[in-house]
Amino acid sequence: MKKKALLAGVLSAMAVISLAGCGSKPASAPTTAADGQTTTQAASETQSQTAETTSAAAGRDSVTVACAAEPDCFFPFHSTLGTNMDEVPILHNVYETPIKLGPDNSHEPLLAESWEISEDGRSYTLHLRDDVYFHNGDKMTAEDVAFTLNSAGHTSAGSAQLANYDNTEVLDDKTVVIHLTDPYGPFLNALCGRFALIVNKSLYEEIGEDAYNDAPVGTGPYKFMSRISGDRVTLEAYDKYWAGEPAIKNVTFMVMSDTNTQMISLENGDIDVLINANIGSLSKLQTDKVKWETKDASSIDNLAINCSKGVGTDINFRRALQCGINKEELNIGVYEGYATLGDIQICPSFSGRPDPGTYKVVEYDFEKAKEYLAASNYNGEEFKLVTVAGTKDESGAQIIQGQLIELGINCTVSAVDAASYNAMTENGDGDYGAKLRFSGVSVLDADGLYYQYNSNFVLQPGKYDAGVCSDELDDLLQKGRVEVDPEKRKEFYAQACDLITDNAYGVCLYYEVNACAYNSSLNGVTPRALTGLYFFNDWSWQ
Amino acid sequence: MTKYIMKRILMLIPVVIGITMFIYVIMSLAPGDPATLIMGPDAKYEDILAKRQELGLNDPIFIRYLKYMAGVIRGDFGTSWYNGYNVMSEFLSRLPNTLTLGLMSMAITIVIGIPFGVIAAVRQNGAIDYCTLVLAMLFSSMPAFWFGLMAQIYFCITLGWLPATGADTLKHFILPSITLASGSLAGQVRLTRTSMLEVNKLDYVRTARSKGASESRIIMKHVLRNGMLPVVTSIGGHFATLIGGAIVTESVFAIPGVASLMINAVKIRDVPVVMGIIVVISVFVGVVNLLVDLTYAFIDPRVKLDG
Repeated sequence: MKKKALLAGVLSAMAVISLAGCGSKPASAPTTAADGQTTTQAASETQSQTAETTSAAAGRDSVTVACAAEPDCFFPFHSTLGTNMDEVPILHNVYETPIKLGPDNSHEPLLAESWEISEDGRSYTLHLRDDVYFHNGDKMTAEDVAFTLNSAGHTSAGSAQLANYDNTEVLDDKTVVIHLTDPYGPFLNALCGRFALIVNKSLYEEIGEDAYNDAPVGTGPYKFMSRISGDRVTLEAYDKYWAGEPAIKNVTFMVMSDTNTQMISLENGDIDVLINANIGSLSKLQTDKVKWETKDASSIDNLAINCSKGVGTDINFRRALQCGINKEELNIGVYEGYATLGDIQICPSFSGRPDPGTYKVVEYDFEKAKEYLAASNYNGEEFKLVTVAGTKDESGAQIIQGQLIELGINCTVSAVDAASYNAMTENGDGDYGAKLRFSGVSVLDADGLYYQYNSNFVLQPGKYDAGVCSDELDDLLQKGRVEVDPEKRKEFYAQACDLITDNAYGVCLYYEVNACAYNSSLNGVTPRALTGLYFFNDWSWQ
Repeated sequence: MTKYIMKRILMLIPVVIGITMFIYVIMSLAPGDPATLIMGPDAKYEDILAKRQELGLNDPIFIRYLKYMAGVIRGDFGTSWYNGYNVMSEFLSRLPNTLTLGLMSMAITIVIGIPFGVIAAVRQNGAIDYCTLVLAMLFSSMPAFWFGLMAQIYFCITLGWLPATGADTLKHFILPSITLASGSLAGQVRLTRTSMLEVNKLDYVRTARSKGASESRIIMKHVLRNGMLPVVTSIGGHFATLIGGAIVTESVFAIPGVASLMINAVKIRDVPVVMGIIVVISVFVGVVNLLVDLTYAFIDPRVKLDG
């Protein structure tokens, strides 16, 4: 009897200890509905606690930023190595572009004080600042700008961003003229991207690309200090920065892959800013020490149907998918309702996006979807939806699977790793019904459609032809690309979108969300459409 | 003894060749073209082809493997296909964190697991025996990610005693080590207990008792020493599986260790990084096993390590 009592006591004590961390205040629902605009959230506002955090922030001049993936490539247009979005926050604070993309995606002067565009849209003249110095003390000149653009513009990824780029000519120390082979509508946007981040020509020629990557030198507000593999990157304010020394003197960029750990560190004050944060976790935050904001990202989730093989060749089946997927449910399931629902594959903030009402939109209609399905040749065969495992897309695919099964489609989900996904969908023999993975763009413009539908790009050798290209679409996308009149561009893209919708090549689900959480005493933290784009010199402690 | 050690070291060579060849073939045959992944979604076909040529992906697998191993023999483990960093430098920069985590967790397992296993055996079917087993089972039943999270919330947020993440000081390793050790603690306690109970029934222990030796002398001198053989084996095995077991812990506590480097490299098919880690770890595991065998001879003089 004694033994049993002892055993019970021990078990109870252990249960209490092991669950000690589980206690929390009751969760509250998000207070602001998603509307596609920037949304700011704070769990609650208690005056005394806010005062406490403000006084704790007084005198601070350093910030710790956390992100899930490790930034590890610090040369902006590395010609031999892979580049991705993880290093964007570092690159855009160490280096600078001639033109800066404002929070509303407007064009603001940065290294270029002003610019002119020739009437034919083939020449861009940039007038550069005369007071800009690289972190090693060298003065930035037109030679550096020309060298950067002439190098980056002809790399594989660089030529996708700086489309139609020919060469850059130096007129004098402060002036360059960029020549294009053909006009490129969003070229000013392109000059805000990573392949226009200016590097020091003489230093590059002296030490080479790899050494430059190890110790990057730019003109930006922060100097690159060190990188500890898998752990952190440290930046220090550049005291001779042309726009004045930033308020935040030291920035530590930490790698923190686990979502729960990110939240604990945020609440604990170990980190001050969390970029690319998980909305599901943010909405459960129970502290007023932390605020968070969301913004429509520059990437789109589109269910791309395989129109060349299997049941996807039947347009009635494809239209059944168009009408039969409830995007609202998806938004709640994947983004807690914070995403903006998609209608066309051009984000709301992109230049060149046609105005609402000028293009066709297919609304959710379950009964109509059933009619389309009945009119199709579908006979209950497997419809395989391929996606990348462990991502938000996998959650979305599972919700779609449920909806399609309800519609009467035998939908299965195949969630694989990113490499296998590419092999199956891009280079394979088309053994899939539809694919779901976000697609991002580096130029925030409707021209992103070019990389989804233009046969010059999509039908390269070795790539699977999913049957989504046509001469008519090629023509419209090319016209949109080379047109410089914004209104005419919108017309071309409206026609292109209608063509995509009429042929039901896919279902545009929603625009992804950039979420950022930060210490409520930190000012100036604003997520932008381009994932990871933050300017640390805009930040300051209260 | 020297002959035995030399023989075991030589035996490591075919083991390493076998393991590396196996991993190389798997990595090479896995779906997905590394060149396409590296060059990104906007890359032109001719650039992807050039990248394949540059990485040597157009050669037959066996030739690629031979070229790789030739580099390894020269001490050149290559550079990452993705970020261009030297594989060995990256590995060595992270190794101290993984070793610290592994050694601390092993120390916790030994310091807590063995004494409690001995006590449980000595007090078989008593209250302490039951309590020890129940506690050990409870810890091992809790998944590492959950246990780590609860520990972070309680000790870092509620009490504020320990840092939640990072690997700057030894203090940062306390919670991760306990988390990593919690999974293997139950096995250690049970193994020690079982081994002790088996030895306790042997003739020479009975003889010692009949000669009037004290119980503490019997346990410490006769039972414990002979009961340690399987325990030492398990400790060696525990160390060998350290890398795999540390993946979750490193992730939860944001420790930049070898496990996270490895898992990221596998995801993106970064063959030089994966291979570099595999080569070093397979040699490491071979050496640990050799040390375990040598420890046998030290603990039990009956074990002869002749060539």
